[in-house]
Amino acid sequence: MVEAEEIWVEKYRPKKLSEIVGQDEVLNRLQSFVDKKSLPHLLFAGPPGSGKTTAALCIARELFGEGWRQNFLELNASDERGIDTIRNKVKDYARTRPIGDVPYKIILLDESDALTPDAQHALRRTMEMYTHTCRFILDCNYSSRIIEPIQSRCAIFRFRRLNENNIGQYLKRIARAEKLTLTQDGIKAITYVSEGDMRRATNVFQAAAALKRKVSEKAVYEVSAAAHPEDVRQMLELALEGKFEQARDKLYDLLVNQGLAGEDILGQVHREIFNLKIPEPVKVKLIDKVGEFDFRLTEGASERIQLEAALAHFSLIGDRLRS
Amino acid sequence: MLEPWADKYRPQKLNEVVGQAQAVRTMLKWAEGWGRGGRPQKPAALLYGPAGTGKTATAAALAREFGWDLIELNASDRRTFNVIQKVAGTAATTGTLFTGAAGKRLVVLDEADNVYGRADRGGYRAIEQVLKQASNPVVLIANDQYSIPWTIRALCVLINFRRLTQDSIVKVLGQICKAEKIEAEPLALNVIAEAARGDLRSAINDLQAVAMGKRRLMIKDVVVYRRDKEINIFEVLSQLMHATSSKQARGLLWALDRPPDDAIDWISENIPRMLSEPADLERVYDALSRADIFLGRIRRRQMYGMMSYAGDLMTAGVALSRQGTLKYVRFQAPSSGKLMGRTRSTRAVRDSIAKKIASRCHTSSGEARKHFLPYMSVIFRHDKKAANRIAEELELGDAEISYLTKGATREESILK
Repeated sequence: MVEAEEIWVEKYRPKKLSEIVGQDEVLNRLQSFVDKKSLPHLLFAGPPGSGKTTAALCIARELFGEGWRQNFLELNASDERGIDTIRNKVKDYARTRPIGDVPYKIILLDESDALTPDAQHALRRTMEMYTHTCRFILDCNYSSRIIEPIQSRCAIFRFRRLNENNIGQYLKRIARAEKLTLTQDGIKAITYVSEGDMRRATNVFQAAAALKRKVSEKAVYEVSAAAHPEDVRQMLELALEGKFEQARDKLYDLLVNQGLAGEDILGQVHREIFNLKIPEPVKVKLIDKVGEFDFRLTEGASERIQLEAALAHFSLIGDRLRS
Repeated sequence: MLEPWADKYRPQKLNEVVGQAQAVRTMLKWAEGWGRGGRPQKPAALLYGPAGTGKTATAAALAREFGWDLIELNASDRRTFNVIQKVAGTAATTGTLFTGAAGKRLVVLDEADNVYGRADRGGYRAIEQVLKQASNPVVLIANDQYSIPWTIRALCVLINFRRLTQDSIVKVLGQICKAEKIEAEPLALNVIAEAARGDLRSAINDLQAVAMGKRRLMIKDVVVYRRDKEINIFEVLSQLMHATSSKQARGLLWALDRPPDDAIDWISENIPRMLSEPADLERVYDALSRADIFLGRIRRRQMYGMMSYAGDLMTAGVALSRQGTLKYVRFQAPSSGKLMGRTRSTRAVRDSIAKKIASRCHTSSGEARKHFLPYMSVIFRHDKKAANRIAEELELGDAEISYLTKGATREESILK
């Protein structure tokens, strides 16, 4: 299995721990594990796009060299169907001996805080069972969402959200390799729209470069607008103006023709609230409501009905603001 | 155990396949290429066309006719790809032990446009390998030929299965009635056939639903059966908003022969248009939203006992939320249902791209959908070369490429 070479997130993903930007203290300690070829179970906590998965991949490459893939299993807790699937995959994988001179294999479990506490207890037992042949690296956003017994069996590493300097350093590397110009205000804008998430930053940069060879603030915001079209704002404005049925048609367009997921539409609604021309305290109330419907979306049967209900609420707020 | 008629009357021989003369001819020609130790230029046949047109049945009949063993695999099943190289690969490159040298195996890969992507990393490449090495016939089955990568289509004889004409459906329904000793009015069969819109299987299922156990099938059995439902739902809608007690409102749903998760689509389509006050609208939708939450819980946890709460909220909850006046509207069937039906395929395409990205880029498909797709789409709309390279690398099919490329016109205006 070759890695994606056309998608920059993969093309420029660091191959060695020393190439990762930011996270210096974390990297120093991880490097010493690798140098001694001795690895405890690891728990990486930190925001998305801060380098957790990359660090795990680098550790595997550096420990196992060429054939690292044979000794590395990657699972994503939010994509696997429940703990039983995970356990079975771990079981199948852990049954055979590692290839090469390192006496264990690595299992990376991404988004492990997506597992319920019960599932985590099951995972803990699995970790125990294969601890002589496997090392686990668990990625999560918040270590507090991981149960104590697992935390206590892992060395915990906290990854910081990346800042403008970190992002700039890395994107400039890409810019040189791709022979692009990247301005300082472009870096600033990318950091802002990506919220310090390197994966998103890299995607924004690649998309901006598809438009212009010189990536400046303007190009970044153009891409950001193109990636998140104005339909969502128009839909909200229609609802606020009391044109509920038109807003609803717009919603169908987003769901049907653009194939957006309800969850993603609400995510954009959330972002757009800040740009609406309504009093600030009302925005806060709306955010609370949107959050409520986001939750109902996960509980309900039809995301269409939940989204329409959210629009009905916007209509009511619009009506109150007019009177 | 009651056997579905669609299975009971499945064609056993190729000449029993209805309405697909052209397809059957092409198929025969291809299959003969495999006879006498030969291997046709194209090792596989891709049977594509709408549901219920006989694709799988034809493949099975072909195997029977040529005395081939039939091995069926489902491409959307994750287990398939742990075994596809093993089972399909060996099945297709070695003869069988039992039927001797002459015996071949027909490998049928169903739902080939819905290849399970993530677990195997490159399901289509696995198929391509199997096809290239195959020394036994392989049949791929799909609804849409363009959802299959061209690299695979190039290895296949393309065989189109068309929707059946109303006449040929009526003919089959007539034969089944004869075999079941049911005397059917021709008009009744025509009504069923028309509703099936070329899908023979669904026509047979409908026939079984209305005719089983009867000696005579009359036009009124069929028409009343259909019309009944619609009169009822319109009445319920018009009475619902005039109900003054919760008892009265919930009773309406009982009188209706329609499950609550279906009724809610009719209610949410029509009731909001009757309301004149935004506050009513908000309250009505809140009731619908809560009803929907119960439906979600019922669906996920099979707690059918909760159905009555959902029903009460979407009737009494909706009716008693109203305080303002009502507008007169003409009721209509839920457009959203049809719309969402169409979305399903868009979404399937979207999710399959997300899976491909996720498996390549060490991320989850949710993350890929949210933080890769929008930007990928910008690239596809603006940089053809980069788009081609990415498409090739991710093995994107035509439908996936057009998903990423679409909306170019609207977006052009944003950028300019």
